[in-house]
Amino acid sequence: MEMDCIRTQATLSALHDGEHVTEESAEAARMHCDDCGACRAFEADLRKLEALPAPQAPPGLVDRVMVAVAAIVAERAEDAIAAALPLEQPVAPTDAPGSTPRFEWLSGAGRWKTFGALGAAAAAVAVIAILVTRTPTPQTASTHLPSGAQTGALDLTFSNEAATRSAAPAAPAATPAPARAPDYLTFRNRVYAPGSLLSDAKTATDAIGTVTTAFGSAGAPTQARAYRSPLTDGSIVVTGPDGTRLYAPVIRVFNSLKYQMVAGNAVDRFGQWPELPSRFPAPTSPDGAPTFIVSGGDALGIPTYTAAGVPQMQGFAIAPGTPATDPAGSNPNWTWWEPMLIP
Amino acid sequence: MTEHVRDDADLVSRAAAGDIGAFESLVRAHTDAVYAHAYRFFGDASAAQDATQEVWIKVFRSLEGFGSRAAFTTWLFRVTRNVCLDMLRSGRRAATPVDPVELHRIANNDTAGEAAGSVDLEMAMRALSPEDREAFNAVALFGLPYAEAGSVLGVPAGTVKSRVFRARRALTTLLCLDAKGGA
Repeated sequence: MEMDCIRTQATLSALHDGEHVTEESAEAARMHCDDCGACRAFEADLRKLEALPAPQAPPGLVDRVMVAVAAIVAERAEDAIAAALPLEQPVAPTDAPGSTPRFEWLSGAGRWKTFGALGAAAAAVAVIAILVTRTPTPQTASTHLPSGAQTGALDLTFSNEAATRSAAPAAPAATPAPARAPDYLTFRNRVYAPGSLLSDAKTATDAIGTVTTAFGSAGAPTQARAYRSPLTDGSIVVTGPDGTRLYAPVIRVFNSLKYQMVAGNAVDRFGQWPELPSRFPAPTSPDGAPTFIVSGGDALGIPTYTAAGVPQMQGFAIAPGTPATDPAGSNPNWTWWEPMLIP
Repeated sequence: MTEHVRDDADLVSRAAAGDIGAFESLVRAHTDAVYAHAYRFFGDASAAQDATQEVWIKVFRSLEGFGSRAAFTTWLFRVTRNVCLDMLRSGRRAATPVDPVELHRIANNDTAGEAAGSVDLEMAMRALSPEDREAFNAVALFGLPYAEAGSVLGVPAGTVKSRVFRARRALTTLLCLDAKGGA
């Protein structure tokens, strides 16, 4: 290649990138191209090269990034709240090592493989979670997870029976507020609602703590083991009198992130409504005063309330009186919501 | 381009103020560039995904300190480049070696159709020197002006111009774009 060709093609490359080129250089390149087929071809090649597609991020990668970001927000929220406010006693003791709620990630390629393997099941359970929190329609789909996908211990065959048991009782249309809450339980102060029963569940080994609940009985609350869910939707697995069951976090979406209801009281039997954490005095006014001030709305358009010293993205309150279809249900109490954690 | 910069600046400002939706918009707008650079760096999709996630986590953690010192894409390219280099240096990931047989096949135009064209581009990309490849990526993927790319790469704008030109020459030759009549 002649020196003029190199100089011309370098100028063409720069022009292709929108770089400033002196008028003299641009004119020289144009004149050269009039007489040089190789340089004209190079100019055409630049366009062909640009038309070739670059690698594109696989579907779902953005969502995974945002889940990781949500975990950071959750960690920050915990830190900020812990620093700004006095700690309260945990509702349920735990026997698991490292009892601080933590967002856990698989590492390396295994993360992506596991995400892929569990994707369909996670979607199914997400649907279940929505059904549990919003409508009593029976769940009819059955999903089978690869055994040992994460814990190596649970054989998770979702039972169709689950929905009839797990669906939160909706308020009758004519009743302003139900006397009984859904079948909530709490794990590390966070509220969960029953999901699918896991039939043929083998002994689980990946225990993450205990929940204190009497389930649906009138007896004294006892401690039941909680196990890590193989799903990444924030659910936990609890063994109760009717078997081993997924419990889905009670969540609402605010600012594109999932927030989970946090209970200040011991929700230690089914039918109890969660209350505000004790660090927040109960508002004396319907507008949240003096504890809260209205600050915006969540994805459903329900007003959200902030507390002094707590940035809204780190937690917010919801007023009582939401419809039965709301994630808060017909809770007659104010409720508190913090970024969802994966136990 | 200017409009994009203005949009990015607005999104960055809102994201730094806690607007997660704005941050997600940034992620959606630029993840392909981050992923493509990482893919070309490692030659491996799994490593590229890990790197992409790490890049955005670093960006999110550093949003408040970013301010508006530079265009967002300049900063994003800097973070992306550093994350890839760190992953390589720490031994967490290794770059997949280039297969000379594959390069020979490309050079002999033994390909078919547009799908093969993009695959071959990535193979040819791996044959570039790291310096030429990252200069090309800075300009072609992240849309950086030569001066901005040079500031990240630590070289003058003229050097970026030379590297990008050298990369294009090599790619057009390796891909035999003349002979294929486009891809």
